[in-house]
Amino acid sequence: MTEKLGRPPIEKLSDVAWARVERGLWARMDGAGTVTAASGSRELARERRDWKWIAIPLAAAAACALVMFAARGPQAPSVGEQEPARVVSGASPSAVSFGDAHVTLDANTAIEMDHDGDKPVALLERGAAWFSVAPRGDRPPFQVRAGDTLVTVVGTRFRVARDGEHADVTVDHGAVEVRFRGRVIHLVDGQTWSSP
Amino acid sequence: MARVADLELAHRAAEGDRGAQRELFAAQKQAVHHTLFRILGSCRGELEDLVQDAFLEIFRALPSFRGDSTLSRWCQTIATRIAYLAIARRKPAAIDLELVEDVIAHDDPDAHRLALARDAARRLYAALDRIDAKQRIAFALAVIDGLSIAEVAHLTASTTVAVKTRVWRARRELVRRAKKDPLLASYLEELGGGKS
Repeated sequence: MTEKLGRPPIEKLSDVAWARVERGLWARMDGAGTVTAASGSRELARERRDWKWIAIPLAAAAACALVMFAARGPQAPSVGEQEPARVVSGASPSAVSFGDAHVTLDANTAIEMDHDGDKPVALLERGAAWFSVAPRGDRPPFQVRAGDTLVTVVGTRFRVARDGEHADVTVDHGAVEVRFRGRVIHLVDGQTWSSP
Repeated sequence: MARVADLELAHRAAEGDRGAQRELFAAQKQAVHHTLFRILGSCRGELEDLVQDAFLEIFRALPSFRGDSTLSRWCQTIATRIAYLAIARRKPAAIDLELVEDVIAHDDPDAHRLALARDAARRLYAALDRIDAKQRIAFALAVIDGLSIAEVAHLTASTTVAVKTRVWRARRELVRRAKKDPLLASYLEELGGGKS
């Protein structure tokens, strides 16, 4: 190696990631009660353990509810396009409709359905999902965000998988545009892209 | 003057003023993220949780802030402690260097250099994953981030002699581990970590 590489680059968090950090921080602050100097790390650890006792049954209940809804008929549970909502699958895959987009979540996947202005956005927090998006026509495109990866679609079936800030995008049919840290990648039928 | 402003902001945030807490978060988030990243490297989604943990701890400890150092340095001290706890919790990770190849634009020398730097950084942090937590922190802050021994001693609440010893031991261990990895060996030399 002859060229100088410099210090390891600091990978900056995206605006979306910072928003997620801030949202989670205030939620935890509100749940933590009064701020005191004496509480320290032990309380932090205890709070994490307490949170698990609540979160695990809640997540299990949410997963059961999703599976029950899916089992009741061909219609998957529906999330209104205008209201932000978080969907979490448990040990089994689940399905949900977001407006006229159909989303099939792998096991252990979490997605937040929200809007960026008038564009419906699915924020893939973890896991993987297939998205079937009906042609949008004149409506704003449907977007899926997985960390720094932004997938924009006008009508297609595709899959996005996330592991931390790493994302994989697979297009079954149709075409999508993937934006990643300033780069734009176009994918069509059968193509796959993975973030570095 | 800056210390007075720091104390005033810390006091308001400690009183539960959400506006002040947001102001503090906005002012210190990059410093906290920088410290965590320098010590831990790219650990994808985990870093977001640790930034949250660090700020929770910062807000809990705010009443003890006396202005002996800048607020920024004080927050970095807490971030360093959070990083230490994260390392202590971790299980040894498998090295997955081959799984995260960067996409390189062949005609862009900067992109090539950046990809090489990322590869070298991944190897460096993979090697750091396998050494003692205190040595790792001392090496990351002093050699990778370029802080003075006195600054590292302040951040880690240690003596300068202890920090020097940790850096020396970390360097010796990294050089030993780099014997079969020419890229890492040459990167350590560039960073000043290749000579024992």
